[in-house]
Amino acid sequence: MKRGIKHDFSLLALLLIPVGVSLNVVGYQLSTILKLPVFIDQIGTIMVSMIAGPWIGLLAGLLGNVVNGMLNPIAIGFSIVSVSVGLVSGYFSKWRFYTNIFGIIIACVLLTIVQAFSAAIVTVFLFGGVTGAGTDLITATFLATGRELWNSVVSTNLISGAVNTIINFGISWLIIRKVPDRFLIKLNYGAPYIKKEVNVNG
Amino acid sequence: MDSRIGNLYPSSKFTFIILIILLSMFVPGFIFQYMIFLFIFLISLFSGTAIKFLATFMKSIPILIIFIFIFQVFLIVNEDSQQIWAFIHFSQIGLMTSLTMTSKIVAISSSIIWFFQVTRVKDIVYALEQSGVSQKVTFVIASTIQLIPQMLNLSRTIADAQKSRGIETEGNLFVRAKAFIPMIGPLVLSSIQQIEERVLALESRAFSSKAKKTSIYELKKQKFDYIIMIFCILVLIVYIVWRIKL
Repeated sequence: MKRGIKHDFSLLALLLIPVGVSLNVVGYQLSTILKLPVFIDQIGTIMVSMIAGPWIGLLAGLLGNVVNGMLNPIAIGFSIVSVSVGLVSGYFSKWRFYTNIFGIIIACVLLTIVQAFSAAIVTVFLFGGVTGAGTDLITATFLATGRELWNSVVSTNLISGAVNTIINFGISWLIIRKVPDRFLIKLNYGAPYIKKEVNVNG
Repeated sequence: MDSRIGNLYPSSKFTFIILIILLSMFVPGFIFQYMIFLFIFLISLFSGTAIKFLATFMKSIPILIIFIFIFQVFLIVNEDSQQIWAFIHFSQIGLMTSLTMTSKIVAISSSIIWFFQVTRVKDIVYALEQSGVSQKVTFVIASTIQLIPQMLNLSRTIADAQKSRGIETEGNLFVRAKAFIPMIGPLVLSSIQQIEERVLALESRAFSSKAKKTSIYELKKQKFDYIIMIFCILVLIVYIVWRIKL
């Protein structure tokens, strides 16, 4: 199957973007309804990038943050985080990291690092170390113990990012296991998640 | 949105926003940027969105600004920090940094909020299409904005259905977390089914055809649009020349 930036934008994959973005929003809403301590707002980006590749994942992340930015402009600043998460997770899917447990662990670690550093860059340069969310209290604690700003922000993001990545990835992985095969096969990156080997010769 | 400003062509409002963002990034100090907030508030009074504007603004920005002040002034140790109590310091440099930083955040975010409140998504999509952006892109943007409220409604329905089947949504953390999958799973699966149907529907209406398409919705540039465009570009040029001369 041909892959790459020229071949990934099939109509089916494009239509996945709105679903991914709305999944992010719904996930966020559900986690507030269920009063969960973490915000599960990247399921859509990760799921879409897993089955439709890095470029669609990138677009889903970007569009999600722009749409959020209509109500809360701070989100636009953080779009670089979801863009990099979508892109990196898409490449992991392309390289078949998600088919075995070691790959998943490596992918989660790397995703956390990517997320933490991109978030840290945005928080430090645009918002002086602040995100306006509850995790700021952790950063404040680190600062109070005498650490530098960079150090504190990166540590905070590594902690919250690890929890977030594992949960977001876990849920999207569980969902993808339930997506019907006939849909996965139509997508450029869906093949690794098909449950049974198809035996062509009968 | 039916005001005079709301009916302007999106790209003239967009040029205006870009001008404001550029100016607030490059004008030194913080007074100009805070003035921009007042200015935008005045414009939103004119466009009849003042209450909505303030509500959206107050929801997200003030907390961020307060946190920035606390961080920069009291927590981060600068060269001129003076200890007040235990880990709390006071720093003049931090005060200046937070003033310039927050003023920019206030100016830029208020202009973005205003832009999205006075511009219909339909108009943005139309203007993008007219300026040569691929129809696939505009379709994805438009359908994302349509789909989000639909999915939220659907998720509420699913949550109710699952609750009536006995899923626990209250209790300790583990119980609540376990409720997540049965709530979001059916949502994804049903929307994936919808995608397949939508692809068929779109293809049968020649969505992928390369032919030029016409739009039933039309938006014309008015005289005022050209005036705004020329005005913005002039202001930018004057500012650049003025800065270079200084």
